[in-house]
Amino acid sequence: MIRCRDDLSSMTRFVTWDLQERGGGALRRALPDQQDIVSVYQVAVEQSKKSQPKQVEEGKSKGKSSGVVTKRGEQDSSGALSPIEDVEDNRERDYANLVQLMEGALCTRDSSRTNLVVGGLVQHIVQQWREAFCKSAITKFNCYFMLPFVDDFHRYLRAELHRVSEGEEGGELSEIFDLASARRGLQQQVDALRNECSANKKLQEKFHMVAKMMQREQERGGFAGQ
Amino acid sequence: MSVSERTWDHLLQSEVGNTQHKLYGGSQYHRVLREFNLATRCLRLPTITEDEIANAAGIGETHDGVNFLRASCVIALEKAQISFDPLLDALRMRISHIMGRLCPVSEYMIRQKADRKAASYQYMRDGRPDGQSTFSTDITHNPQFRSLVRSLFDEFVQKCSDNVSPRLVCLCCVCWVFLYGPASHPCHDATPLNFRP
Repeated sequence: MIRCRDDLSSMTRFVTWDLQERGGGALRRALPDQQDIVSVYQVAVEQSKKSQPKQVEEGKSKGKSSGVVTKRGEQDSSGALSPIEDVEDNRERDYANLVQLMEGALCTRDSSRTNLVVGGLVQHIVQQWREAFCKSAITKFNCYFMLPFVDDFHRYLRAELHRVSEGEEGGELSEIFDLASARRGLQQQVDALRNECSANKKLQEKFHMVAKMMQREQERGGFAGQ
Repeated sequence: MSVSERTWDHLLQSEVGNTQHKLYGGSQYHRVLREFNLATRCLRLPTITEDEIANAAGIGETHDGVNFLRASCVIALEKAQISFDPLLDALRMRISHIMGRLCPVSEYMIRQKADRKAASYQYMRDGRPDGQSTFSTDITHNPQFRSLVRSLFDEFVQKCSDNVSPRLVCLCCVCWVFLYGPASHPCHDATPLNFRP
C-alpha cells in the first residue's frame, strides 16, 4: 500500500510537471477500459475462427440462436469453441462469446484449444503489454530518477553540506568548514590588534607627558632669561 | 531484436535522432528514453512451446478446467521477464551514467563562467599580486569542497538508481493492470484469481 501511495503521489507530481501528458485526456487514458478484457478474448476467438473451418450444423443447432464452429473431425460441437455469430450488437456478442468461452474453459479440457487460446492470448498480451510496460518503465524512471534531481537534490545537498559543516562527518572534510578554528584565529588577531592598540595608546600618553615636560622646561628657561 | 542490424541503425536515425551528437543532461536523457522505446517496439515476439502451455495450464484451486487467463499470465510474465530484464538493466545503467555525468559537466560550466567573469572584470580584483583574490576566497573553487559535492552527487545518483530498481521488479503489475484493471492490483489484495507467480 505504501508503494502504491508512492506511485500515486509520484505520478500525480509527474503529470502536473510534464507538459506532454497534461490535460484531462491523460487521466481518462489512465483509467482502465471496460472493454479491455473483452478485446483479449475477442482476439482468441477471432484466431480460432481463422484456424478452424466453419461447419454450421443447421439441423443439430435448432435450439441455439447461432451457428456452431466445430473442429475438423475431432469432436462434437459441445466441446469446441463456438463463438456466437449474427448478433447485431457487437458488445453483446463479445460478452456472449466471453461467457461461452468461460463456460467452456470451466467445464472442459482440450489441449489443442488450450494451445490455440493461450498462445493467442500470450501473443496479444505481450504485444499490447510492451507499449504499456515501456510507458510504465519510462514513467517510473521519470518519477523516481529524474524528478528527484529537480525536487530533492538541492535539499539533499544542502542538508548533507550542513551536516558536514557541523562536523558530524569528522576527518578532513570538516576542515573545509572548520568555522571554530577560523573564529579562533580571528579572535587571536583581534586580541593582538587590541593589545597593539593599547600599547600604542600608552606610548602616546608617554609622548604627551614628555612633550608637556619639555614645554614646561622651555617656559621656565624663558622666564629665567628675562 | 526482430529487426536486422542495418534496419536498427536506420530506425535509430529516423526514430531516435541526434545519434551522433554530443548531448548531455536532459537532451541525453530524452534520447536514451526514445531509444528504449524503440528497442521495446523492436523486441521479437516470444515463441511459446506446447510444453510451456501444458505446464502453465496446470490445475486450479476452484475447478479442473483450464484457466486461460492464469496460464496466459504465467507464460507472458515469464517471457516478459526474460526479454525485458536486460533492457531495464541497460536503461538503468545508462540513465545512471547520464545523471552521473551531470556533475563534472556542471563543474566545468561553473569554472568556465568564473574564468570568463574574471577575464571581463579584472579591475574588480582586490589588487593582490597573484590576481586571484575572489577565485581563491570562493569556496566553490576549493578542491576539497568540489570533491565533497561530487561524492554527494554520486551518492544521490546511486540512491535514485537503487530507489527505481525495486519499482521495476514488479513486472507482473502491468500485466495485472492490463488484464484486470488497477483496482485488482496484487498490492491491493483483491485478486480475482489465485495468481501467485
